[in-house]
Amino acid sequence: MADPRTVLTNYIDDLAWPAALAVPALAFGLLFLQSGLDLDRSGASDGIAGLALLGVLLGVVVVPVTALVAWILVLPFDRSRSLGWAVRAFALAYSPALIYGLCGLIANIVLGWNTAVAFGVTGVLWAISPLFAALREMSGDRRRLSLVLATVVGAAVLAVWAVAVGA
Amino acid sequence: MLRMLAFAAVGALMAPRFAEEPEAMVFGAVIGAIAGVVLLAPLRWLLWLVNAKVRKEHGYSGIRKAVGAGFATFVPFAFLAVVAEIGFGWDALTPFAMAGLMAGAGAAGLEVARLGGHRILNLVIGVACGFGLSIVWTMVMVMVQEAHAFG
Repeated sequence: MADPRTVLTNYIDDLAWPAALAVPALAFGLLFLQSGLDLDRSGASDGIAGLALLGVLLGVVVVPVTALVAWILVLPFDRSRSLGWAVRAFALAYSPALIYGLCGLIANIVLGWNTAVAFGVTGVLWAISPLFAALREMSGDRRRLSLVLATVVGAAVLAVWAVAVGA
Repeated sequence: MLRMLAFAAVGALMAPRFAEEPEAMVFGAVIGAIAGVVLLAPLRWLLWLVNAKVRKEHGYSGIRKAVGAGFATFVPFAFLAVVAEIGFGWDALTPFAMAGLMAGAGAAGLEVARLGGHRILNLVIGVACGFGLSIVWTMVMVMVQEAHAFG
C-alpha cells in the first residue's frame, strides 16, 4: 500500500495469472458479501450468497477488462510492459481491498456494523494508488495520463459496484 | 493545477456541511484550494529538514516539485469523492478525503526519496504526515457535525 511501485517492478514477474486474479476475485467477493449482509440487515437483500458470487465473478472479469483497455490506451506511448504484466499489476492493486474486505467482514459479523461503504469502498479506493503506479510503469512514467486512467478505472469499478448492489 | 482543483473540489463538497447557502460551495472551493497549499507546507518542511543530500543537490524547489508530484495521487480520490457525493448521493467525503490525503502524502515522501533521499525515512514521514492530515480532517468534520447538532 505504501510503496506499490517497488512491489510491482520487483516481484510481479514471478506471479502466475490465476494467483493474481484470485486477489480481485476475493476482494470483490468480500465487498459484495458485506453489501449483501448490510442489505439483509435492512431487509432489502436479494440473496447474500448470490451477491458474493456476483462479486467474485466481477472481480475476475472487470479487472482484466480494465487492464486490457488501459494497456491498449497506453500502447502508443510505451510497449515495454506486456498485457499479462498489466493484468497481474491491476489484479494485485486490489490487495488493499482484500485486506479491508477481511477486516470489514469481521466487523460486520462480530460487531453487526454496516461495513460495505466504510470498509469495502475504502478498500477499493486504496487500489487507486497501486493502479496509478502500474499505469506509470506501463506508460513510460507519463504521470498525467496515468492519473486520468487511474481515476477512470476507479470510477468505473465504483459505478459497477453501485449499479450491482443498487447503492 | 490539477492538485489545486482537487482540493477546491473537496472544499466545495465540504461546504454544505457548514452552511446551506449555494454560495457556500464557492467559498468552500476557495478555502479548499488555500488549505491544499497550507496543509502541504509542514510536509515539505519536514522532508526538506531530513534530506540534506536532496537539499544540496536539488534545493527547496526540487523538494517542492517532488511533493507536488507525489500529491497528484490525491486527484483521483477527489474526483471519485465528487462522483460518489453528486453522482451516487453517498455521504462518503471523509473516507475518500482521508484515503487521498494518506496516499498523497506517502507518494510525496517516495518522490523525494527518488531524488536521492532515504527511502524508508521519507516513506515513514510521508505516511505519518498523511495520517496527521487525515486526523485533522476527521476532527474538523466531527466539530462541524457537533456545531450543527447543538447550534
